[in-house]
Amino acid sequence: MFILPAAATSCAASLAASCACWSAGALGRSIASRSARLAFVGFFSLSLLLAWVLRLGAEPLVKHLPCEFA
Amino acid sequence: MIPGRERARESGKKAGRGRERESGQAIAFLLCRSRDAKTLLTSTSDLFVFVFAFFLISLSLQDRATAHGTTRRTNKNEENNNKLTLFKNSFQQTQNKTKNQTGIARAVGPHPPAAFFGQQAVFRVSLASCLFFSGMAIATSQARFKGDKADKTVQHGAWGVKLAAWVLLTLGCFFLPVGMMTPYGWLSRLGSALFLCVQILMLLDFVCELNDSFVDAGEEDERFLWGLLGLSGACYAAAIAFVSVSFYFFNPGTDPQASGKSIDSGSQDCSFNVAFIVAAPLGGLAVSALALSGIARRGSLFPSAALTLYACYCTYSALVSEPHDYRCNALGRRIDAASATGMFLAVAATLCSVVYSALRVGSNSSLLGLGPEADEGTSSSDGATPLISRRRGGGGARRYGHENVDDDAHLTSAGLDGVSPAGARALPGDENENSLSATAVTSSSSLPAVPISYSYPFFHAVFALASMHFAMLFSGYGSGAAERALVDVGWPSVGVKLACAWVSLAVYAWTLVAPALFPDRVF
Repeated sequence: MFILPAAATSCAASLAASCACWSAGALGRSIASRSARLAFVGFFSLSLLLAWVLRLGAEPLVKHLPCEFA
Repeated sequence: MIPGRERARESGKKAGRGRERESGQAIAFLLCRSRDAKTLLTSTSDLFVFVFAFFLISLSLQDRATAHGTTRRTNKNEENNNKLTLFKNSFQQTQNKTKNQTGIARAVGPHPPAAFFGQQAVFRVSLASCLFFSGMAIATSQARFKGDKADKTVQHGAWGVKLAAWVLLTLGCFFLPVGMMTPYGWLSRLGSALFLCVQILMLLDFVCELNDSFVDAGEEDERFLWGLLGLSGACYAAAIAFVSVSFYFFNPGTDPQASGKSIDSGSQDCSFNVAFIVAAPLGGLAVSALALSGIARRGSLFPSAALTLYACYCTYSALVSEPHDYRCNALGRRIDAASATGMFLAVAATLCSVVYSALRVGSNSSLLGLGPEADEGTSSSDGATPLISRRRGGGGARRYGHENVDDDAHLTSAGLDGVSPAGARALPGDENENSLSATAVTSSSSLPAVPISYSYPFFHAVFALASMHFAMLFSGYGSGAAERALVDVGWPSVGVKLACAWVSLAVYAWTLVAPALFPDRVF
């Protein structure tokens, strides 16, 4: 009875994820085709945001990495 | 008659198209061309001297500011601040004792502070970004023309490979040992200082260019000179505004709302703030007086006013960066009292400014004589390449058969991948960079090769430096004392920003007095 709604939800989620990935890829390709500099700014901004996020909440992630934290 | 006044009289004649008008002379006395003044940073060795001086000054100011802050903190703040310091000290002691590091946990126990992990993560992401852009700088170093392999494939193509490389580098850096982050931290301090110095040089270049363009236009129409004078006045007014705001917020004796429960001090306890608030405009006035004196052959009022404004702004920004629980930082407490949205916007503004400045500096490859034509033998034989103002007209494009190309335009590209005039003439109406490159290749027999519009290696090198800079911003310049929810707040940030203010004034003063001090040197 609940299989169909669950499957539909799963399908919808997969579809949404695929659309998001496709949109992100299309956006990236569009930016890269317009200007290489903007694309590199995108890489830099990604690093910046990632560093910002990890600065606030890196402890659980870093602790479990096989470097010298464990 | 002193040379400055003589020159002013000449400029006054030009300003009024030969008419002997008192107003024209008066304005021209203040607003001379500064073109020669820009060329005074004449060798790369000067740049390294400035970077090194900036590094030392910022370290010295960081120490002073940190010492000042720690001696005036409340016990609770000292306790919080010392927690990480104790941890770092014990970690360093363990490093010294044991050659083989076996882990943070063994060094300081199972629960190191969260700030340590945050700093380590920031360093690793920054290192990955720095490696990525350094690799791109090396890979694109051979690009000379649009359509080259390095241009077509490395700079403008293979985005999937680049994305994969970025991801792999970012992941891979998290597997590096902890000990590798200490030297990278010091390297980042140097890289950050270099990034800030390049920004200062770019600012100086910009204000001198603006001054020259107004003075040139003023030869035809005197209203431009009045406009430049008004702009200079506006800069001084803005500088006074920053000083006033700084006094209001960072000297609690003048702020009625600052006498809260945590404040038990009068204005005397904020002598650190007051000293720098007062010193910045005084330094600006000294530089302005120097520019208008006979010592400076090509001094002008507007660059002096702009540098005064910049120094006052940097001082204000430095004081804003003081820890928000510091009793002399009334503005910081107000920001803390504001919503989280305000803090988020403040952090986002800082990050956006880093991105924007990296993009601008990286695109302005002519700044340090590193434009696409830099390797074509235009530098002087003794290697004394002007750092700020390589006079355009090195003839880079002419070598490739573009005799009618305006050299200035492609060297000063500050837009987003703007097509150089050469490219525009070769392929009118084609705004797409990639198609331009492709066409240049496919029809290379019919069309001459189009030189690239900006220096790819310099662009990537600036982003590599910017990567080091954001590592410093996030980590409190490697001290780990940055406030957790804020970026670029802490005593080290205060020291670096104050160093920015004073080094910019010093560099400008150097451009003014160097011709008098070194008359034999070709500027």
